[in-house]
Amino acid sequence: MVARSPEEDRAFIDNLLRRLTTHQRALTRQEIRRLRQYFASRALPEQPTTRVLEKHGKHVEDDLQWPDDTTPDEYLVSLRDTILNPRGGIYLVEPEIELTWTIYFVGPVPYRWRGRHHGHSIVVLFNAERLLWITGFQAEAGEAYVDRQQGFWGHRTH
Amino acid sequence: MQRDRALNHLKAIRREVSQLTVRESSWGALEPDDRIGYRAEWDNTLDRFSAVVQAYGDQRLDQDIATQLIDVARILADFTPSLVRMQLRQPSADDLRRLGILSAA
Repeated sequence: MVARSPEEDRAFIDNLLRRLTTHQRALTRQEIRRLRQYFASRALPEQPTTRVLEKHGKHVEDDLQWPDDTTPDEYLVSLRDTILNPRGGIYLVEPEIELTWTIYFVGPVPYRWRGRHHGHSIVVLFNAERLLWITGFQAEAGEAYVDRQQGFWGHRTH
Repeated sequence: MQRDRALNHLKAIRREVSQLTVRESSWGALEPDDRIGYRAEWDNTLDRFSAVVQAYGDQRLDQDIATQLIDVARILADFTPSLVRMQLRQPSADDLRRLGILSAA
């Protein structure tokens, strides 16, 4: 395992995403691993923030997509698991409206995270330029939801 | 579609629609990430609407839920100008036609 500073990690990911969005190509295995590690460990909040609590309230407490007793910390765990899931997909959306790229990590909904009204995929969104977490929820239409966002797959869901 | 699930979906749509007016008033001042996140979530909300419409089309909804669905669809249609201004997905014409909100013509 190579130890890298947060700055080195950030520069690598910035550069990778810039090349990826320019050429809109498939990711290599190593790139997939680096992206998953970065977004799971550095971009996703480690602890419940105001945004995490807001999204937890909406998708867990109100929409019942996750089991009723899912805590904000567990909600974050489920999003982190989705980002790191090797069976999950990585999708990038072109900046038609907001002029900033968005990256989606998409994966199946494990039994553990199926609420009374669960969806068919967990999707986790980040701003791909500022490398900040945006939201995470369970998509009713599953992968089809992501497919119609007019972007491209860096890595297709298995 | 189970009754409970359809009701949950309709409740979520009503909740989101009820907040649209307030949200629109501050829409331009929001961070781009907040608008991106809201658009993504709204898109999913309309998928839930379509799922209930599908159940209606398959005659798998109880009459009282069908009545609620049509009410929600009318509210959604009324909010079309806001959806256009906020560049949010609109309910599909097919879904609205199926519910008799739009004429087949």
